[in-house]
Amino acid sequence: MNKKNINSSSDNVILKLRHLAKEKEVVRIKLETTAAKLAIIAKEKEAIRIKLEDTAKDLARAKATDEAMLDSIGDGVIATDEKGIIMLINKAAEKLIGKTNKNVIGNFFADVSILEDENGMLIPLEKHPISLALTTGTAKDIIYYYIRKDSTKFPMAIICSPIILEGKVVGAIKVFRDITQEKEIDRSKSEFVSVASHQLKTPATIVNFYTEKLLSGPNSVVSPKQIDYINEIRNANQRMIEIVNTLLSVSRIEMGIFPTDPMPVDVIEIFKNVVKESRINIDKKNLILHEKYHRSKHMIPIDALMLKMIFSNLMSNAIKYTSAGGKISVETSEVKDSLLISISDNGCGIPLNQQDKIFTKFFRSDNARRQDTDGTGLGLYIVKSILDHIRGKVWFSSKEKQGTSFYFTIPLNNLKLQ
Amino acid sequence: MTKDKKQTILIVEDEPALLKAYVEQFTDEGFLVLSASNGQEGYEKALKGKPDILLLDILMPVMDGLTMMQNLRENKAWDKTVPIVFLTNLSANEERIMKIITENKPAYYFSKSSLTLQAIVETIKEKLALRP
Repeated sequence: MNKKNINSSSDNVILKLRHLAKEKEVVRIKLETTAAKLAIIAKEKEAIRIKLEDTAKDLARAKATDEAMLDSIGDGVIATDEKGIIMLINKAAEKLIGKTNKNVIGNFFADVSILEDENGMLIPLEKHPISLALTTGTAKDIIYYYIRKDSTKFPMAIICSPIILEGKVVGAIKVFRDITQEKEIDRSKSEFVSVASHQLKTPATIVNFYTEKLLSGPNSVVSPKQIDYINEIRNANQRMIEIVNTLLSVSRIEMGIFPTDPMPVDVIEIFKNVVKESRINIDKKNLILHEKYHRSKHMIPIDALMLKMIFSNLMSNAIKYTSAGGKISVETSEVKDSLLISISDNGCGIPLNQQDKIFTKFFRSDNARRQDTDGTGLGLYIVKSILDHIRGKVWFSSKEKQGTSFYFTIPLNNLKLQ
Repeated sequence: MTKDKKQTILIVEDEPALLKAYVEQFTDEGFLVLSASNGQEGYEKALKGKPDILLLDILMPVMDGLTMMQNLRENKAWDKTVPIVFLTNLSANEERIMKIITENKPAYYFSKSSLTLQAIVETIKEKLALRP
């Protein structure tokens, strides 16, 4: 190898070395940048981790708050999925039904809550508030008795709504509370009315007897004016007795006490008798009466007094709210297993905007108030209560100034007697 | 019912104004009237006076009308065919009352506020006529 050659090869080496050194420097710089980047990423990661931790904490807190809120609700809350399997129960519900969440969650709702109505009839599955919520939507203002494991029971007011997620029913939520106290108050109120009514009846009876004595018998008064005044006293007193009797009927109905002397009676015969008794008042107003009765006898074991209360209330309304010379028609017919009775008039009618309140206790429509100032607003309430009790139905069609038709059915089979 | 012999009625009512009205009415109608203002007094007068018919209130102090009837029925000296007519305004326990009354024939129940004195007299005469 000559010197020149040696020189050129060492130059090459130097060049390569320089090149290498440059490359190394580039790599170093790159590494430095990467390290810096990694440091940034690590920092970001840490920040995310902290954030996640916070979020987890927030979520846990939120859940705890939700649970605490749910548990602090004074009313019982039970939620089910769309199949009726219980997913959630709050503390108040556990306490009310006397079961812990372990015994309840995962169970079918109807296996956990056994309900009955006030007559002690079990509520069938399809009528259960949760079933209603899952199939037909919100079920509210329901009052049933909950039967605890030890057979004790308490009245509960229930509102049950479907849980809707993205347009689909995914479950139901039942909110309920114990209304024992409300029931008690209601009961003592009714008892008060009952006692007060009895106390009121005695003086009214005394007035009745002595006005009768003044009008007849050896010590009767003679002046026509006096007779007139005494008759006024007598009529007013009679009205008071009737009001007291009506209040008594209502309080008894509300205490669940119905007249129960279920002798087999011919329903149409009783109806005819009430119509006959109304004859005086029909004639007084020169009303035209059409009667059409179903021919066959309908003997059913039912309390005659209770039937009479239905008939006479509807009859007296028809007479009261029809102007002189008007028409009243009564008709009976058989529909399926029931007797359908209608009482129609061409009287003042019920204003459309008040028709939904007509069976409400003490409610009187404006035109009824104008026409007859001393009604109590209890007649139709009594009619409805009695028919509900014997599983009959009542409805009406009415147009103001044209007249009203009331229809009701009396079941001929499976009549509930008590 | 014989026309010449006066029928005796025992009226038991704690409300003086009502008792007075009944007593006068039945006296005017030709009855021999015995009266008492509670069940205990009524029980004693019934055994002593042997009335043909009883007119009883239900809610009364000392002894109520139903107890009085039951005590009489348990007493061998009492003639069980004597009709007992209850006149009352009590109706809260109708069921229980009706049960006791139907178990103790001849006993009847009327609400006094729905009757006139004349109607009460007619009722009493009618129940007396039914007596064997």
